Amino acid sequence: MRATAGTWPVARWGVLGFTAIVLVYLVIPTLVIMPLSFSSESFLRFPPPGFSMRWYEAFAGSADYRAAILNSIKIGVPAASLATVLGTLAALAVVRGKLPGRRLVGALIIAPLVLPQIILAIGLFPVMIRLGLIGTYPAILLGHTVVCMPLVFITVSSSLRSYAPTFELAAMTLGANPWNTFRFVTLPMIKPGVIVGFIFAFTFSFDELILAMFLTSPATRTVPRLLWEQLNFQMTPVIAAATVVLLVLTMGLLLVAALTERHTRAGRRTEG
Amino acid sequence: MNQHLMADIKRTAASADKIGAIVEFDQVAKSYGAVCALQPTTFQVGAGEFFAVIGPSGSGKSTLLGIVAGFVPPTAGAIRVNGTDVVSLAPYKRNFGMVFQNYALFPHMTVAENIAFPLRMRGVSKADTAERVRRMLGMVRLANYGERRPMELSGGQQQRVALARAAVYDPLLLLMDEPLGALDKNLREEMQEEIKKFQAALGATVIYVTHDQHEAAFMADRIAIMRNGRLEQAAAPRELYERPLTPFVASFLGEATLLPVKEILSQKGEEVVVKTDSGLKICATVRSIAQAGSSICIRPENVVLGAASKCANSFSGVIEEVLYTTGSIRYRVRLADTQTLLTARIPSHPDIALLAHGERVEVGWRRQDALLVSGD
Ligand SMILES: Nc1ncnc2c1ncn2[C@@H]1O[C@H](COP(=O)(O)OP(=O)(O)O)[C@@H](O)[C@H]1O
Ligand SMILES: [Mg+2]
Repeated sequence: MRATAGTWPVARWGVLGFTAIVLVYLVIPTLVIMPLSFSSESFLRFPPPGFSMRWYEAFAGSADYRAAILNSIKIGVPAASLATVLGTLAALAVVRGKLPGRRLVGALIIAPLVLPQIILAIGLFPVMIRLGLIGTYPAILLGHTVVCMPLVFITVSSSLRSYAPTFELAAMTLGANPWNTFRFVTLPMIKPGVIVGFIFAFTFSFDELILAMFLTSPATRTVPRLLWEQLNFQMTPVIAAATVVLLVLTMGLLLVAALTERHTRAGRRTEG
Repeated sequence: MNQHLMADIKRTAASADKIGAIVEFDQVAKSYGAVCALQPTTFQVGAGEFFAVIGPSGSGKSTLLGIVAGFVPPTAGAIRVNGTDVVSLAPYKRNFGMVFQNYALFPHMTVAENIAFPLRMRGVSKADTAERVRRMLGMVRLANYGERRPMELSGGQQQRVALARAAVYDPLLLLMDEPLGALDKNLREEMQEEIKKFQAALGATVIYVTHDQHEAAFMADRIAIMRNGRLEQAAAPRELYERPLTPFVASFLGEATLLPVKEILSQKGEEVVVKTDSGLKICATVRSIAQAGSSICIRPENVVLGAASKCANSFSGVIEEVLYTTGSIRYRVRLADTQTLLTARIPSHPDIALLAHGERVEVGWRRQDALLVSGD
């Protein structure tokens, strides 16, 4: 990839141009939200006529938002935890195990992430009704676990692929049984992948709208669903303020993930 | 090696008056589907013996070692260690030490924690562990390196940590898979001596895989030569070099000119006269019944250049290649039959004039120095 771009300057400029267009169309609209959230006026208008913090105050004072944030955490933390455990186990089986058709299994595990969420939502909706779970925490929690697991699977798999299984073999010759080998050798080695996977999973659950629309009720409503509902009948800058808070939180978590990854890569390099 | 280390080793040796395990391979075989990685193999490694396994890449060395360590379940056969079959025993219950080519030191643990790991797995007390780790660090001359991370050490130092970690629980059998493969030549030679002394101090039996024949010859009591998953010959280095059983062994260990034999003209005891494919008549030595389809093996240092008429085998030839290597001169001589290219090596000396390319020369070798070896 880099070699290609380096060989033909045309290709490099092309890639640069494309990146610029993507940034302009995807990131700029996101940033427009920021000044809107500080607007002094009571409906969304760009550019905002004046500056105020009142929408942030309104956001902080809103019982609806407080409940929704709590719901998002109550769903996101267990869903991400469950996805982390299952995704890590799946990665171990697919990368280190000997089961036949490992490639196919790997592809199937990633499928929920690649397929449009709407398909999963339409599929899960009747199932959850049958199980009598619709609108409850377990419904959305399980739904989010399914879409978050591939994220953990991907990060942990790449951690596992970054080192030869010789470490585990060595641990075994040194007297470590399979559990101790996992606990004292494998887990510390893949820890960055597990942490980054958990952060990705939590962020994904925190920002997820479609499954939330199908599977939550007003009692289990998450932040994205609340935002969506509010957009339908009140276009106040509270939405912008809430979005900015959500954005900052997500970016912060992704930054932590990126730092974790960079830190370990730097460590590996000096080691190699 | 310094005085201090020697003292340390002697002290440990005195306290560890144990003797390594006897390892018996009984028809051990391994195939991966249709690929045969190891053909049924039977041999024995003696207590406290340093046993090297050499052979080209893919010849089954690592497979053999993996079977002993327990990573590779054999398709057939038994491995008895001090009389007990270990094949069905999980790797972590075997209690052997193993050193890997890339050391496999745990990067998230300090040097001391790495060495303590096997003791921790065995539930050894904290105080006892600390004492044994300290002694081991002294033994591998890394007394002040316990708190470092493995990645902060040089290759040779990492190698010594791996050795210490594999030996700290006093295993009766040490397995090493190309442990010096990643080191440069000088360091490798230094480590060879160090490993030898280390083994002597521990009294453990060692099975040592390498692809370096010089390393094997220098370190081992006996060497096994592997080829295509088969053990061709296992013997002391000198016997292997001087009495190879097959042309492969002859050419793998050291250098040899191999001349395919077409016909056995006569045999009287060990003395045999043969005709080569190229039509040369050669007086040679054989250990068993001479067979057609075997080869004559001649070591380069046994070839006499000039004044060769005293030899049982004497031919004229033309120098085709002259190569000076430190301490010796290596010639390639095309014999009069035009097909045979003979390699000769003579010690270099300031008084000796180099023969020139294209020069005619008498070459010869004694009957004892032409060995008839069977097989391909
Ligand atoms: N896991 C495996 N699956 C299939 N074939 C293997 C496997 N491991 C080794 N082999 C084959 O077995 C043969 C011996 O390999 P190995 O013991 O690693 O050789 P060496 O250590 O002498 O280089 C090779 O032909 C190799 O391709
Ligand atoms: Mg190998």
